[in-house]
Amino acid sequence: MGGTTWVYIFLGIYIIYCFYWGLKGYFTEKTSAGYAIAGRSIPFFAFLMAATAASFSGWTFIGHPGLIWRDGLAYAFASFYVLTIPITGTFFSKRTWLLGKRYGFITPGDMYAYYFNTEAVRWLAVLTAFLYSMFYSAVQLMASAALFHYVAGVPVTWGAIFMAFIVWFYVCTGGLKASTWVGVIQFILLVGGIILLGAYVLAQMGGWSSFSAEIAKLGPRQLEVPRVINWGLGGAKGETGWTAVMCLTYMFALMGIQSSPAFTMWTFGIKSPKPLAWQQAFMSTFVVGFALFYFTAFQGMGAKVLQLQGVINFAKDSDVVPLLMTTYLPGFALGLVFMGAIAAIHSTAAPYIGTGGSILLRDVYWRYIRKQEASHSEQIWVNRILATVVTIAALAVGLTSKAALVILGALATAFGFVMYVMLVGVIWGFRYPSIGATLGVLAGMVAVFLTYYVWPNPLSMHSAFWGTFAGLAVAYLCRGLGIKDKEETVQRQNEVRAFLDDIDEPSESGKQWRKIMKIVVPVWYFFAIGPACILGNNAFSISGFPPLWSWQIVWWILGIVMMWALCFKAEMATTTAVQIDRAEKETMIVVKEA
Amino acid sequence: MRIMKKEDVWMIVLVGFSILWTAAFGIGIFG
Repeated sequence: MGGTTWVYIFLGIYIIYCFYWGLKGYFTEKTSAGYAIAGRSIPFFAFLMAATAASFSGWTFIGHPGLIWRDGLAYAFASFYVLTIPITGTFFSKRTWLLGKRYGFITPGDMYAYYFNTEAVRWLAVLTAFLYSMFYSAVQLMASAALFHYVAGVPVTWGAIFMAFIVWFYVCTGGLKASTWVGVIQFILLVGGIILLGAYVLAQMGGWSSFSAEIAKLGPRQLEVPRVINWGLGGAKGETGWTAVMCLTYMFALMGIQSSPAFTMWTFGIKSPKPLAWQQAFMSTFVVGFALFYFTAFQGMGAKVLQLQGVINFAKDSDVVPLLMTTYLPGFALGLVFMGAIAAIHSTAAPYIGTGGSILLRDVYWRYIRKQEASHSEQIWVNRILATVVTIAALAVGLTSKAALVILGALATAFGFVMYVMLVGVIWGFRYPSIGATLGVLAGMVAVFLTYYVWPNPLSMHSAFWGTFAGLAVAYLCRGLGIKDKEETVQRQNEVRAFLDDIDEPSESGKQWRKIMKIVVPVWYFFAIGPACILGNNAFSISGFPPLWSWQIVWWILGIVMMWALCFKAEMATTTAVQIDRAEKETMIVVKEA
Repeated sequence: MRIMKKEDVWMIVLVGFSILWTAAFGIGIFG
């Protein structure tokens, strides 16, 4: 059988699986929270895999190898997002879950608005969620359509509509539970697909010895970080933009994925916070890291070698994965890897479309249009309509405005990182007045826009850094100016702080580990992906990997140890049975469900 | 009394695997 036939066979099986979970959810979820956050009942393994799949989008699958091909190993530092995406979860998720349980928050807007006692922050969260849902999903859907076109010859417009329809169907019928269960299979396909394609490329190169010898012939542009910092806008002339500080601040942007409203909302949905540490330390950092540091890099570096040998000519970075797939994969493997790419794309689009609809429902329709008076069934139906609106909007933007799409899709993650301004306040008690939080987030968004679009990457640092830097600066400036909160806000915040400090107090050994980790984590950031990563240009070489690649592998392995220490030993992501029991009982619901 | 927790065992196994896997490239297992 030919490759296209296998593509359609796998696609058929996948669609049946997606529709099964969608319809199952349709007939079982009867409450608003049941639909929007799966009745806080997402089980351990499902969350472990689905949250990992959602974190790593289709861009990981298709865009990442393409950029390694274009910019070389300096760009491959981006693979460290296997650690920096979940580390945001390590910082915030457990406490977010505890707060969701106690106060009955459904959307991140509920949490921010309650803590800062102002509705302005709710609207900022809604705006971020909307940007994320629409533009990030649009990027994903268009990527799936482009791949479908490449592999099976389906016109891009029809491919986009078809791919959007599959996601729309299972999200709208089954809600978050369906997204999660489809996410499980998507995780397996995503990781399996990356490994399979990378393995084929390695075999194509005649094994590691000859591949390694070919890589060694590449120039410094492919094998080195150009400099620590560039005192200007973007990279220096004639070099890639991947200075050491760009590698670092680009990771900040990706840290925005798990601080985005969608992920905060998902955290409210999990049954127990038990899977968090396992998802962060092992599923993301180890499993996805294993796929990216070896197999994705094989694809990107392999493509470069193949091009220099005159075997395949890649015109642009987005051609790399589709061309490798159609050139080297036999029928069955092509079907499987194609499904891996589609799964990667859907696994990200689905939760963003789903949570985007839910946030619009709860924070706008239910709260402001219906004045908190709508039945469960009305909420579920409006939620479905809003998710449909988000899907159609994403599709419309994707099909009409490619330039805006790229800009706004990239802005989304940086905006997610700006949410740190609110999260460090709510979760860890960083003190600034409510007006500081509001103006801080606003200033952060403006700074992101300016440093992305108007003056791109000042000092060769990513807009995500400038956004959160500006956000925190403004928040603390408001405090410095002596702006005070209302008494009600102060009391409310003190009550939240007392609850969190009491229920989430680490054990004696946990406190010791936290002390150590306060030094270890910055040191890891500094050497692995920060200014000192330039040392990797010629530090050491292992097993035939060029020095920079060896540096990345070693710091990745150390990163697994660091995440284990941070999540488990420092108790940043673990919970005890007593904590969970207390969270179940000590409720003080402040958000009406229906 | 259990000496090591489940997560400690997993960490050792996964880090050990990563080291062996990387070494496998050096000793020519992958050609």
